[in-house]
Amino acid sequence: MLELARISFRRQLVDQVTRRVVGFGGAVIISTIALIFLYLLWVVAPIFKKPELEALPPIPAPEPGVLAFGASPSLEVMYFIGKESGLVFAEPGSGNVRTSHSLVGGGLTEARLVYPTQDTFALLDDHGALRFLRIEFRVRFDGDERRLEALGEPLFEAAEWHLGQVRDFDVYREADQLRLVSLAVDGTIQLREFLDVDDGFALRPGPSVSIEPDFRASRVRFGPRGQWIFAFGRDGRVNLFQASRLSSVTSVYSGSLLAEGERIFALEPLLGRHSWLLADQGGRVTQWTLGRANGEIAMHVLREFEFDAPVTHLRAEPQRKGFVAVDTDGGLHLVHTTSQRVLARTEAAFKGVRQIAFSPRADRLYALLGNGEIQGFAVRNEHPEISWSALWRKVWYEGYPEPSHTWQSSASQADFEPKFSLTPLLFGTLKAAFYAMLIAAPIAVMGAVYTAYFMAPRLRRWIKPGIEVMAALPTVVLGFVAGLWLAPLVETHLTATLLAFPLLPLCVLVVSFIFHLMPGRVTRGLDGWLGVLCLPVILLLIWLLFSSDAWLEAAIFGGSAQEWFRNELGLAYDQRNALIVGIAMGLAVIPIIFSISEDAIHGVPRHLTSGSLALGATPWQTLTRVVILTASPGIFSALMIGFGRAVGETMIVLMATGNTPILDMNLFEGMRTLAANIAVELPESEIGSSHYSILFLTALVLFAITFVFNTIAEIVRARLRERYAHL
Amino acid sequence: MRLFWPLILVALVSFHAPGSSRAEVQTEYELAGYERVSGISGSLSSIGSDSLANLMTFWTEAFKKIYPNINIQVQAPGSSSAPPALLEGTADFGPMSRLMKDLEIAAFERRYGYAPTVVRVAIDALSVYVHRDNPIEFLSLPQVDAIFSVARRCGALDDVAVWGDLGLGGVWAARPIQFYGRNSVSGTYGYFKQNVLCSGDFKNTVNEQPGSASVVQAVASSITGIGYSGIGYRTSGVRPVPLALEEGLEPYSASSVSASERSYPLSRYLYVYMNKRPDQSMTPLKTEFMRFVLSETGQAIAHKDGFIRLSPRIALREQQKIQ
Repeated sequence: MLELARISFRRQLVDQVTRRVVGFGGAVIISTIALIFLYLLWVVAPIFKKPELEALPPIPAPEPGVLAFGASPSLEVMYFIGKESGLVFAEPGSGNVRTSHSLVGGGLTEARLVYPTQDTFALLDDHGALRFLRIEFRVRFDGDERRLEALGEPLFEAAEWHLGQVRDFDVYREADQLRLVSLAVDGTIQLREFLDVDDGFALRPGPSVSIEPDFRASRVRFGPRGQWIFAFGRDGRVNLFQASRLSSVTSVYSGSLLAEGERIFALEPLLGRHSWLLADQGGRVTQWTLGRANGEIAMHVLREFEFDAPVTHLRAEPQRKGFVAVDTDGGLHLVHTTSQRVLARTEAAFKGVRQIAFSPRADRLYALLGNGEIQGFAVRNEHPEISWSALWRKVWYEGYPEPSHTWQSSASQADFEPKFSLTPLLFGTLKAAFYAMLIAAPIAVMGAVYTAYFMAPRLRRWIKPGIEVMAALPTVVLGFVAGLWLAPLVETHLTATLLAFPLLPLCVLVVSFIFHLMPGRVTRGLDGWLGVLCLPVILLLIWLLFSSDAWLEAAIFGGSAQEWFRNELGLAYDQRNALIVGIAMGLAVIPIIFSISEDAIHGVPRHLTSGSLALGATPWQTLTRVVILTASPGIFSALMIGFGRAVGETMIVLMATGNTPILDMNLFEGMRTLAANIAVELPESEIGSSHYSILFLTALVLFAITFVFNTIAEIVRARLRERYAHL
Repeated sequence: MRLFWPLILVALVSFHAPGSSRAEVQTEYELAGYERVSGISGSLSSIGSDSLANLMTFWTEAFKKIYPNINIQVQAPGSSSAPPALLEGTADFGPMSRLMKDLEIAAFERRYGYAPTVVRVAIDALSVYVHRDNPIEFLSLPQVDAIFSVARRCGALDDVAVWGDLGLGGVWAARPIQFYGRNSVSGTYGYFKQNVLCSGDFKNTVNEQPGSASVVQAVASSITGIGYSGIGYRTSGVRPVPLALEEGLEPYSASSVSASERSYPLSRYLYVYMNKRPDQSMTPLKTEFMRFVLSETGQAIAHKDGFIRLSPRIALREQQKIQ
């Protein structure tokens, strides 16, 4: 009696401990997944935070006639260039002057940023002399104490260029190029180059050229890379010149950006100067960009923004494709063009804005008011380029012929417009998985049925582990082989490859039929070995196909197969395409699907099959009406797990495709998948940037896809199991 | 109050007599070979450009022969991996085939309070490769732009989709072009985008390859292919196409002569970034390695690997940055 109690106690103890350990393990797994999910959410969340514009206490400007102002990148110092006061460095919090430097002559009339720099100013004085001033902030160490030194450095040893009386001018400087374009009072445009500016010794005038715009221009500006010149009239007329070489300056476009009788309220180039923002009297801001129409260069509208009151001032962000607009009611609006969002606006009105400027990193905005005060705004606007519609819907990007789904996330130049459309990536992921499943699913499931049901047990003992070992094949090796060996092979033997898909199954059928016709004494004992018998025939067929490829291609396609597909069906051919991925990833997925479905089919209870056969059903009838139905939950989950694997697979797609983010189901073109995209781009993306957050968002999307598919799979499997449980 | 515009008189003089200061520039400069110093030991790591991968390896091997008891590791996933590695301190050197972006410099400055030091180490002739059987004679940069880009910002009017658009006849006229390029981690990708596509975008059908060598390999295996990569990766299966700056100008081939004269339109500097506090010198090992790279010995290795050596004047100027 005592003995029994002891055993029962031990049993209970073991039971309890096991339950706890297993429960603990399960909880750890679930919480780990939840933690990963939360971490992804935590990284992604900031991109959906609402941008803010917060007004700071105003500070006095050194003089009412301030021509230009700005701040150091670190926001530690502000600078002002004034008509009378010269160059002044001041504390941004209080406006207290740190240092002030008189500029030669005094009596400045213009201080204009040299395009595309953010720190060099062209100063024009009332005698018509043009000089250049660079504002620099240098870090110095006094022992371990860090100090920011602000200084203004005259360029070209303070040499001046006599510009004289002009209506407008613009300066471009990049590396060893310095170009000046000016609009004379009589309406002609003069473009001049300066020599040897790289060494910064002197301001040596080089060749110049005069251009006549075809209307009375009031404004002249350099376009992208200083290679284009825009002339604008007050009435919205525009004349564009291509001026990459002085010897061949040509007018390439002439048109009007406004309707008859209207006039420009404000005009500002967006970063990179590929597009221009134009405010009209109706409170509309239009983004015009350089594009092509009928094979010629033309300007066209990309998008429009509506404001309640007419916009009088526009200022573009220095590093991104955003801008700020000030309306006649004194409201400031922070806008981003690509995502087409008005991000934030001030609640209070700031009347009499005369000038606005961004800090170099666009985290502060300064407005010079009519009363001589500088009104600062703290700008919290980390991810303006992201909006739900920009991520998924078509966006019309600068320079593109039409709105499109585009993924092109980075470039080495700052004036780049990042293109973050997740649609082609999601599409590519599903495309790759689809083609992989198209190849893997029939082979794996039918293979599983054959192995479990028809194959000789001795052979099965070899085949099953053999295929399962295939799952251990590193996918990077598969991708490597597919990209470097298979892709060029398929490109040169396209006809043979395509023919193999219908011919190989057909060949197996034919061999089986011949086997079936043979007298019983020959086939006795070989019943479960038919698969092995097919093998040499399959190999022979493949060899035949590939060696007679040229002949087949000529016979079927009358020349090149690729050209036939392109001309007859409009399908482009790319060496790294979905066919290659389908084959390579199919190979990677087959072992999983095979193994799980084979287990499911093999696990169908003997009494069911025996009962069916005993009732007179043929093996085939038994298979299709009893075995497969009973095993269907298992086969279904095998397919779903295979699909999940294909969606998340990285290395094969990365290596075997060209990672082209296209939206096309074409079998002969590639794709860019979510997983491969993360692998390619995460190492280069700056932590905390929009790009980085979006990559995490794609991880979340990937997570969501597998989650959704697994849930569907589980529900369907449960249903199927319930239905066939009574068998 | 600091006197801020004191040079005005001098400047006016030099403005009218520009020859005076320029005469010095013509003086002959000469690079010395590298000489071993004592007391160098320790280990170095370099993470960055794939275009510079071979060259960095050659340099480290030669440097190890001089100092056998040091240890150097070179990793080369692509230029964009250099800034994060320098920022996190996982690398001593960040070789790059493009200059750092403002944002990358800003991130570094936020951490250390000063900007990273950059040194030019060699000149590369970025080449446009076609299959060796391709008959195309030369291309102009706007044509290359029209081949690879969506927006054709360099001014070409029409898109180029088949080889016939570039004037090839016969079987080539209808053959579509297959594009191969690098992925966005690469500095070559950024350089090409900025200088050949005039800051435009690549077509979304450009196949991205993980490395310079695999671009060349892909072009060699595809008869209709075109791709870009450094001249150091040239193989017998491909042919670099001579390039002209504009339609109607003389094309130059990517040979070392035309690249060092800078008449080849796509010659570019290759850089090494490092973390050096402005008022302090680096460790002796790091300084010696950079001195070695910028010496006659180091530049001769660059030349042997297919790159173009720096002019002695520039090499001497770069040497001063690492003192």
